[in-house]
Amino acid sequence: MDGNMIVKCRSYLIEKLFKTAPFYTFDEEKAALFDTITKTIERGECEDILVVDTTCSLINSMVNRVLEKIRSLEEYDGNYEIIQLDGIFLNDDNEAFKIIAECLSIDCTDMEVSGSFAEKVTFAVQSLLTAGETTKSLIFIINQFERFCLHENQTLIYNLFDIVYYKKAPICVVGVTNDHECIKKFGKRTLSRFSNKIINLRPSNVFETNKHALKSLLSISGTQFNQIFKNEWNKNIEDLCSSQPVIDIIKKISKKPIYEETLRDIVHIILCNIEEESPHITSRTIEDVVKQFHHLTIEDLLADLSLTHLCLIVAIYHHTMIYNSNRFNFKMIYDRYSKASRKFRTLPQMGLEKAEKSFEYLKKDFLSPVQFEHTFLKEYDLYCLTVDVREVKSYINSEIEIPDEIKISFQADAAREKRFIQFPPKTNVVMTMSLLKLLPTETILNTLTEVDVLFPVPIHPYHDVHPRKKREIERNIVYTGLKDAYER
Amino acid sequence: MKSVMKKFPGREQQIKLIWKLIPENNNERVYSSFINLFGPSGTGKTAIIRHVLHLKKKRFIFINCYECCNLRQLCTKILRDLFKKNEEYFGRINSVLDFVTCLRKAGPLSLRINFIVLKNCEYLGTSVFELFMYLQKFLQCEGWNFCIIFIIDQFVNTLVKGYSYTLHFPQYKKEQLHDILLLKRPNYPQELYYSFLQAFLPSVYHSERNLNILIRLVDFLFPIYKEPVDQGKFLMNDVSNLFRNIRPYLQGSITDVFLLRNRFISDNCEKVTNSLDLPYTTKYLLLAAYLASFIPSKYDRKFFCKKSFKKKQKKFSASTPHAEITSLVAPKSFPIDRLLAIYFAIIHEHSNVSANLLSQLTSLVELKLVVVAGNTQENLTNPKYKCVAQTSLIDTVAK
Repeated sequence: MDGNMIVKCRSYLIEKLFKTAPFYTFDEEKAALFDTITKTIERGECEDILVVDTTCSLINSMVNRVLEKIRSLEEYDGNYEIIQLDGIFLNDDNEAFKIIAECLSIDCTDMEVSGSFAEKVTFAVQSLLTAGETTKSLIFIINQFERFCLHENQTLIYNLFDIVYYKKAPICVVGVTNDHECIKKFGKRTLSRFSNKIINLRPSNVFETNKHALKSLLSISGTQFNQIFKNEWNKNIEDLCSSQPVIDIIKKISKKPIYEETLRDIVHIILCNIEEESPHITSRTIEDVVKQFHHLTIEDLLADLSLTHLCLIVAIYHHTMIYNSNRFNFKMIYDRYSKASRKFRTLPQMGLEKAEKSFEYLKKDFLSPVQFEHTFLKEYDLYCLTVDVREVKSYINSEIEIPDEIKISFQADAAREKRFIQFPPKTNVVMTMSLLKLLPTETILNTLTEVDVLFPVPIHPYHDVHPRKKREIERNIVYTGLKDAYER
Repeated sequence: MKSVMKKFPGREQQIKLIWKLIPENNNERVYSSFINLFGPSGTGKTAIIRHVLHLKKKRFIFINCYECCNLRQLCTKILRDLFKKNEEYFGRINSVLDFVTCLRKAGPLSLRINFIVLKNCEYLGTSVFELFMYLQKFLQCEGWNFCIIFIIDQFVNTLVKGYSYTLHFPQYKKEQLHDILLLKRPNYPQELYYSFLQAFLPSVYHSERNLNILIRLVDFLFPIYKEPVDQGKFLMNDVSNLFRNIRPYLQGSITDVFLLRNRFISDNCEKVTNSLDLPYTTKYLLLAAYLASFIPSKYDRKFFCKKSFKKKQKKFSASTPHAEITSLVAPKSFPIDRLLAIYFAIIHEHSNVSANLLSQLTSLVELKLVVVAGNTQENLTNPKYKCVAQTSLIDTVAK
């Protein structure tokens, strides 16, 4: 294929990508919303409606399209005023009121003095009604509606709903949110004024629409390309879209709540990957691009670490395995690391300071603090691992680049983990070698040379006991403590 | 594009994509809403994006979020850079709303800059990050033509969550590091430098992969490596002898560079901190506080009681193994009575509780070696304390 043609084709497709109409049309819902708004404009009725839009699109959102349609109709010109509020920018209701006042061109400096917030809002609305000869309808479009529920007493939305409820003025309140449970956040007062009209935008037939959209976005038409190139390209795309791997990918995408804009972004990146040398889009490229849109995997993160960091990660793994708890502080981890490095001399050596700095680095990506009380010293602060230990294990075992000594130390302690016995709470354990002598030879415990006991160490202060009694105690302990462990 | 790839080896894939995402013409619309670049520090994110934007002759502003401690400062900085006007021109920016109104007042056509590069975005926090993503889309709705490029060093799960495209810059492989270090060659004969890298990289690579640290190491070690050649002791291709020459410096210098410290300065610092000049009795009080926080109270009787058969000689030696066990967890709090009891057990002279002694305890609290634990108002009658001094400090004091 011609290289020049490919470049032209790519820029054409990118242009097309951002000009095509949205794939999810929501015709019924659009008509309903249009009806509600026009009712207010034409007949001066009061309406409130909540649009739950889970597609998270903003640029091509349904509400915007409805507004564009209304703006284009000349018969309504001058009969209405649209006020748009965005929850994400507004921290409290006074700021929102400032915007409303600005839109209605009311001098809000006088307002500061008089009355409560409710009076302010009604006054603002009323003043507009009485000011001109013809009354105007007000349309409030409130984006990120759920954020207004967090404001103090939900004053603004309550007052707006209140105006609608008692039909004080011809306004239409359209709340747009992408939170399913927005209504649950309403207070009792607000809920009593809300008319419970909700439009739920749930895309139906996601898989088919996505598939169709992908195909139409990638295929070319128009006169600027010659017929042979066009046919070849379109056939290629058709084959691609009907092939099994691509269908699998689309199915996978459709299961998750990603719509419209994400799909456009995906197509955009796919188009960016087209080159003069390799003009064909393959299922492999699509797969790679889609993968990058999801979370980065733990393998990616672990691959970026140097060996010193990995040593600490392995130490954390051992700690969680041995003590069966996922809480640790720096001291414990360093202790475990230095034990391992004494055993395996080839492990990378690091001093306390270096280990501390490596630990700081790990904190940002892998650890999250668990805090009960202020410890004042950072090496005693407790943390837990945010990634799954098993994934770390599988990564370390499978990666080729990791040197053998780490793998061996990893496996060595992992093997010991099987022999670990957890004693029931409040069991007295004597940590002497005489314990081994007392045991029958064929038990699993006869190879036990080191006992790791649950933290903190429950030591029986047997020093204080008379030597004659010591023997008895030891015998007792073996029967009470270890017998249970055998039977299990 | 080829020149950029030559300048940044090992980053071909990323450069290719960035090159295509940024449009050729200045007036052309930027299609992608935002670009996320993620990778550990020292993988060329900032350098590449700057270089590409320069080559494409884009006007952009570059902001390091590390410098802006709150949203207000960030917004003011962006506005100031965008319009090249003084702060008085915009008035005080208190919230995002003011920021948006300022932008709106100026109008989308007044904008001559299409790209905003935000570095170190992890310092912004999740909510601000989300806000900027929304702002970007919101302004695009209104016909603004600009793109925010986020550069993220550390993986923050919530930041990257929003189903946006994240371009991952993985850490360099060994061969790539070799290529990059070759590019940064100082003015020395190439052969010598090449052989140095051949020997140097494999020995360092496992413990250190960060490019910045490696460059500093090379700057430090290469002159030492070169010295015998200049003096004529060894030949240029006698790698094993030359490398043996720098081996003693290797491990120490890695640690030094990693900790960003100068050996001479840090030695002095340590001397200053360790020679903490405390009065004789205060030292004992500090030791008593340390012992009280790290030794469980049930051993008190054994270690400090005068009636037990092994008394004073044992207390320090005996306390060490137990201190090792218990010092893995945070220091415990202790009541003042116990502190005084231990103090009188370890000090040789016999003295009484005096105002002098209590004032010394207060001075320890002021020095932040001991802190008051728990609610101070509740514990007026029997206050509790905690020792937060470093173990190394205690060691020197005990000597």
